[in-house]
Amino acid sequence: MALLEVKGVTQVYDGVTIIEDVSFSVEKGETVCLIGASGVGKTTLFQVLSGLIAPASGVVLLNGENVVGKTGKVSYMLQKDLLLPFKTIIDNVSLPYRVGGMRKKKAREKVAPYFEQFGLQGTEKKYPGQLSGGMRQRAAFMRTYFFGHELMLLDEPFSALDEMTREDMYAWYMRIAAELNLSTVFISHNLEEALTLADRILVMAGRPGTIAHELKVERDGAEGDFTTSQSFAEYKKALKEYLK
Amino acid sequence: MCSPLRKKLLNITYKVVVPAAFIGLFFLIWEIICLSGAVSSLILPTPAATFKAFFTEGDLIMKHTGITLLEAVCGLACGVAVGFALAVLMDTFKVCGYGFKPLLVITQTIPTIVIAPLISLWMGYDVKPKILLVALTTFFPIAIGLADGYRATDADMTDLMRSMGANKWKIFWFLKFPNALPNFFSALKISTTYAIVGAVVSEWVGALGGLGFYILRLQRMYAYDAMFATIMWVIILSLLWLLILEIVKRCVIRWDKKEN
Repeated sequence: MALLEVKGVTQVYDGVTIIEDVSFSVEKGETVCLIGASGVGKTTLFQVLSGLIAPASGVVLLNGENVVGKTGKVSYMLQKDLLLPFKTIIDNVSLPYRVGGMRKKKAREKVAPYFEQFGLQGTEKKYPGQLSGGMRQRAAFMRTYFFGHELMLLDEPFSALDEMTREDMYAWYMRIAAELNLSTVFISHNLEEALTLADRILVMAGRPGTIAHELKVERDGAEGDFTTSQSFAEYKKALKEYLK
Repeated sequence: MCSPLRKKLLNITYKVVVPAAFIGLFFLIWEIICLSGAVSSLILPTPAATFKAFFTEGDLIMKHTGITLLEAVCGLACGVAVGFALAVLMDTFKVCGYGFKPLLVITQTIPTIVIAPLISLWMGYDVKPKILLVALTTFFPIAIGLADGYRATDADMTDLMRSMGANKWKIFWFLKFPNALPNFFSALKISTTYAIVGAVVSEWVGALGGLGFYILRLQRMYAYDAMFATIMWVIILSLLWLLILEIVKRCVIRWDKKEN
């Protein structure tokens, strides 16, 4: 059974259909990327998957359970890092536990051992305003991880970062995703980012938006660095065609 | 290029030395005007006489300070509690937000000096009506300040909390309230000054003690030097309150100071 199954999801705002009959599935340990033009309904789809809004029709099954309109079932990282400026990094990261009713001391103890793994050692008592963009993004990602759910939804997780930091973050993300066996759906506007990180790419297109194409990324055949390989260039070309 | 030490010295000069010099200059001009005979010392005592009166009347001033402070502190506490509750209601229920706002504004258009005799008539001349009057003058900035702070909470942050499974109460406790704290302290600064002024004014219209009552008594006795000393003391009290509040604010809101 797939970890996530989305079947025929349609969402309407003020009489306008934003997404229509969206269906796809995500397996355990898989990284899936959603790409598509602005306004095609990617974030709306994420809001449906996270339970923040209920769709006009369709179902969202997580491990076979219908989670339509139910929040707190998936780990969701929104477009901005959204770290609370008035909380230290350790309190930001442990927020999911605090919301779950855990005492502050216990919640801090739970997250403290992970700071090194997430590359955030020494930032525990700092405030978000004292961190660089990359560090903030890692902290937001770490907090998302502590939602503790099997599926992570990341809405343009690296879009606010500069090119160099983004490259570092890709390597870091791939290492951490493998270590923690994460199942992730992320939104991106960057084709190279999608091809570097995702096992499968879903292309959203049309008005109303729907899944128009699907691309499975096979890295095994590529020699050396995948991002400089012939197959990477071919995948990129195919994606560009899909997005036209 | 400014060295750090020079920068620090300049900072101290602008923030401490210059204001102190201007206040000193103000008192000097006042002293010169009085000594020149341009204004009778019976009407306007010199700063030196005022300073002297503060020590000769010190015991009585302190006795009445206790009463005024009790009224101001209790009134402010009630005002903060009511303001806090109203802000929560206005934020939680849309109908309260629209319904309370005009009523709140109307309460603030009634001058304190007009309503104070009525409250004394209803409640007597002890500290209770003064506490009520201070509460009435101080709850408004708190209610409006907090309600604005709650409303200014980032909608994406609220979505983030909801996606964690947080209910309304948890969103309030972990997000909205701390987010509104800077607004709360700004409002509290205004309310604090209102509290002392409100207590003194309410004592004018009928009281058994307090600085307002004492100022009125000194005025009737033509003891203007002691009266000026008491007025100065009211100013110092207000400034001390603001100073304490600033220290509390810096202890509570630590993140602002640590931004890059």
